[in-house]
Amino acid sequence: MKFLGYMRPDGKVGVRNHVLVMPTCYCASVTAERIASCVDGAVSFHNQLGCSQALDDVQYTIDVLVGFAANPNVYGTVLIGNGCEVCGIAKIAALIKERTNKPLFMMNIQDTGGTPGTIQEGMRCAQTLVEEASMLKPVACDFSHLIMGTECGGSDATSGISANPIIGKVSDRVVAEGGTAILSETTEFMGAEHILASRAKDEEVARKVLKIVSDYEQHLINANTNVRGANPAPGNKEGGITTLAEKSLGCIHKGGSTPIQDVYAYGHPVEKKGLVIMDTPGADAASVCGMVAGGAQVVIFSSGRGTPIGNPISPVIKITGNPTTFAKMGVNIDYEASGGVTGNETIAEQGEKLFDLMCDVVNGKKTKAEIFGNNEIGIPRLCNYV
Amino acid sequence: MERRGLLIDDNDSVVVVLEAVAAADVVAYVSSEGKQGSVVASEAIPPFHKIAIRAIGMGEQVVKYGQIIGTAQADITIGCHVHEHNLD
Repeated sequence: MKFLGYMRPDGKVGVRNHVLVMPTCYCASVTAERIASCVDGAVSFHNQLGCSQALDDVQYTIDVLVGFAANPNVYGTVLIGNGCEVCGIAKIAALIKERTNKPLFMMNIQDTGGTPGTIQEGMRCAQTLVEEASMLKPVACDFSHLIMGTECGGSDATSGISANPIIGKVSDRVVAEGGTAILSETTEFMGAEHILASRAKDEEVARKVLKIVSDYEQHLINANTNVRGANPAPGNKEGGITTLAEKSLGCIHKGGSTPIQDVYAYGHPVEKKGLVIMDTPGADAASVCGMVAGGAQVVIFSSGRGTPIGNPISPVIKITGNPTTFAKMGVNIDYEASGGVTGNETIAEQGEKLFDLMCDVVNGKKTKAEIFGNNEIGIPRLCNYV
Repeated sequence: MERRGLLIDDNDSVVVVLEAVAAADVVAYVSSEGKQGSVVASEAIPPFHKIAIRAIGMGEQVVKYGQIIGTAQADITIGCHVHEHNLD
């Protein structure tokens, strides 16, 4: 099976053809966003981090920035720094160049005439890249190039019995076609980690699954907090989810039924084919960010309660298992996956339909989140600012 | 009235109600393996919340998806709403 993709010089294949104007730190965020808003074909996002961070903490930020630039949906990148930050443009550019040979411009606000000069120079660079990118035509590419992220957020009890099992069917199909599916959200493995470990391809991968769950729990204990204090969230509980184990048992359905091939650290490049796990927080914007930094060109996101969120780099296909939510908020949701609740269609039938929609989106159909310009991001933290 | 429920796994002690349930409604459920049954609701239950289909004593484990989802914090009788007030 093939999909239409943009061939990149590093051998990867994008399903979008964005020029990324990327703020390396919070001082540069507004300037970068203004540049992107002036150039059709450019995208940006608000980076709240990138400076005053401990080295272990800033590593998450670096992994996201470098991973975003390397994501195959990006044609080329314009890095906007301030000039004195921890995530300096030279450092980030060197790490990007280790990963990809795609076009890259960079500038510091301190050396480019402040806000007006940086906007002018940034627009000029972004315009050059958009012009080049527009010459590319998508070509038929093998499914083995595709990495699909899976996510759930604003869950209710319909997510576990309908939307997530339907995503699981799509994960199985992507794997059968030779691609990669990512199951994420380590906090929402808690109470179900034994099931995931039993699905690992070997004992080493099983140990990795159990370790990311125990490490995450220990991390929160070290901060004198308890995951169960805030997870499930109030909306999860109103929606019928009582305990974290119950939420987790619904969450892991998104991974389908194939063996788990490997476990990746947050935002690290995903290289294996088949079903893999990424160690991400349950916070949906941050989890999606990690998978996109890891190379996911498309994400399927279930929400029983409904959510508008998207991502600046990769299309996020939102689905809901709750027919009432679809009736109230269908304008933000791409597919009603309520067959497990209404009985109108089977999980398998809806899985095929959702796979077809995912292929349409990969081939260029815009998601609701793309149309509305939802570009939320989130990056995990290890500790407070220093 | 009769309302629809879903038994996810035949070993579960709770059923997910697929529509809003009022006290004295009958919740008829079926599992994917074809097991059928019904339970009379002893109280109102919001859509997609859980109803007990067997008596669960305080301290007993509650089972959904064929797995343990928590421990009963009170004696739960058949037909009761199972949620934060009696499950942790």
